[in-house]
Amino acid sequence: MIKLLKNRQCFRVFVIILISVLPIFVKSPLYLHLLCFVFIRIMLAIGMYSMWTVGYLNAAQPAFWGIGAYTSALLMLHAGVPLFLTLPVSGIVSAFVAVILGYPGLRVKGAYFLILGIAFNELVRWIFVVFKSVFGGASGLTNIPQPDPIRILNITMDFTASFVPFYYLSLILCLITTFVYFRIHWSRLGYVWSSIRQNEDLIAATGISVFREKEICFATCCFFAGVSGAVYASFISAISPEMFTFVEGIYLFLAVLLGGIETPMGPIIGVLFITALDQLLRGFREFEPLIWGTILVLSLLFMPKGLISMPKMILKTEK
Amino acid sequence: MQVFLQTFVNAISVSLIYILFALGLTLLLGVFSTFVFCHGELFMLATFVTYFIYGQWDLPYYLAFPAAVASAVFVGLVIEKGIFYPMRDRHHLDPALASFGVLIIMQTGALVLWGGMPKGVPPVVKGQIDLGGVIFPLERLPIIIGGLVMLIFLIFFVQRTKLGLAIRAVQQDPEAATLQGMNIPFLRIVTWIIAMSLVAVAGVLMAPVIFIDPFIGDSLIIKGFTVVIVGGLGSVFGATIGGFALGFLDSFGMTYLGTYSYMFAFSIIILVLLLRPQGIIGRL
Repeated sequence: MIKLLKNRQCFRVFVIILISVLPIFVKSPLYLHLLCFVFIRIMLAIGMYSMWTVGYLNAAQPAFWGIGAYTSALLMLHAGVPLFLTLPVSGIVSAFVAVILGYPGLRVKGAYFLILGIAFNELVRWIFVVFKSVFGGASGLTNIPQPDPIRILNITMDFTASFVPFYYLSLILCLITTFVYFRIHWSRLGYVWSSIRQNEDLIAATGISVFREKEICFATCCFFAGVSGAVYASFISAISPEMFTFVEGIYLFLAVLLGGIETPMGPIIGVLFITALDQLLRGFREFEPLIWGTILVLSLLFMPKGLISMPKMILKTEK
Repeated sequence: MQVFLQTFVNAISVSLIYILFALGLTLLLGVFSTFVFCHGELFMLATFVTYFIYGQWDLPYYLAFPAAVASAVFVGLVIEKGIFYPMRDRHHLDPALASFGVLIIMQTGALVLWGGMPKGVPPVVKGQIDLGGVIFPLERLPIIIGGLVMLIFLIFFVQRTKLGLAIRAVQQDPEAATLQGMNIPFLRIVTWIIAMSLVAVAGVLMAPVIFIDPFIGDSLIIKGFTVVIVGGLGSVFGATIGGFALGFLDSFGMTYLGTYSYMFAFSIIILVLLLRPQGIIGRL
């Protein structure tokens, strides 16, 4: 058994099986709710990680999340489109907006892109607030429907009755995202992306269109952000512009940074860690931002490679 | 016409507020080629110092200047020595993120220490002048005079002194500046001291005009970034133009378009970055 687990492939399968049977043991709706939220956030964080590999911090990630959520919610509310159709549609809408913004936007340097992202994020939020007749103003959209029950074999998955169906839905989407990003990471595309961050001019000199690679990266990142927004909207059934502030994006990036920015595994660990810490800190609501800020500064200073590098670092120092 | 003139007078003082705030930011941006997010919190610190010295302890107003400058410079040097200098060889987004962490720490710290209730500082100069129907509140006079004085001082410093020349050299090419024998760590500290003094003076000047709470930095930092981006990288002259552009757009937008003008700053940032990333008068 242990020998099997040492094999990476087997280990992965084991972890996936473990996560899939988790709802049998975890009955508390609070924790299921939390886990759904973890999966949704992993989809966002992994996109931010991929943008970081090309040297950008996508502070507008919450805006693309929001665009996905609003697209899906509006389609479901007004046109009665089922969630399984709005998932790809909202992803495509987000990616489309990203391509348009990225066409001129991805030519600026990293620090400027950060400011551009913040400005774009606030602009999108403002559009949600001002166009009341479409987006519902500051109070947002409510009564977003859940998908209809599905029957698989003999089990009926009723989305309104419990969180378990949403658990599986977000888990599947999260696994797809993770799978895609892992495949990209070990492919030519991934190598090009991570080398863009290290030396953009050199990559451009080898004949690779840096701008095109960035555009692909940005569109992929925002596609998954949009999909995750669509699940999120249906999951919590009410969305408002306040949920999509750029500060949310910075906190998401804090998770990426904490987890590690070397492989797609980093954001996953980071989101898990942040969520766990968030639960532990529930008694100190007032001081919470203080702790996040300190973690952000300290992890940047002393742990630039994230938690994922900790075992390696400890092992190295012991030798 | 009356409304137009009144808006025009307001726009001038609003512009000078933005310029005052953005001058330090543009210096920092030029030297470190990254965005310092905690700039607004240092402004907040200066206004709180003014509140305590002038509003609470009834000490003379002018004492607030040295106290605010000293506290802001102290915090600035802590940030430089603790965060920015150790990160000098890293990707330029790392210090920007760390400064965002400092923003969160300082804002929450102020909230915990001093509470979130908006506080007022009594006006230093009272009264108003009636210029044929256009009312000009005299409490804005120190801002206008102080803003112009600081602007002239900074332009003189950057253009005419040897230290200013060195800072401009570091802005253009840090490596070439090192090769010329310039002491980069020293110049970085000088930049911090000047930028922090500028923002502290801006805070003391503006404290009597605004309500003070831990979150005043948030809206100002966005305005500051807009001014700096419009003006171009590290250019004092550009920041002046950017400040006037944003101040006038903001005031006239507020008068004639209402709440829609909230988004002017963001739209300007997006448009300038997309169409002319080097700023309106900047060179790339």
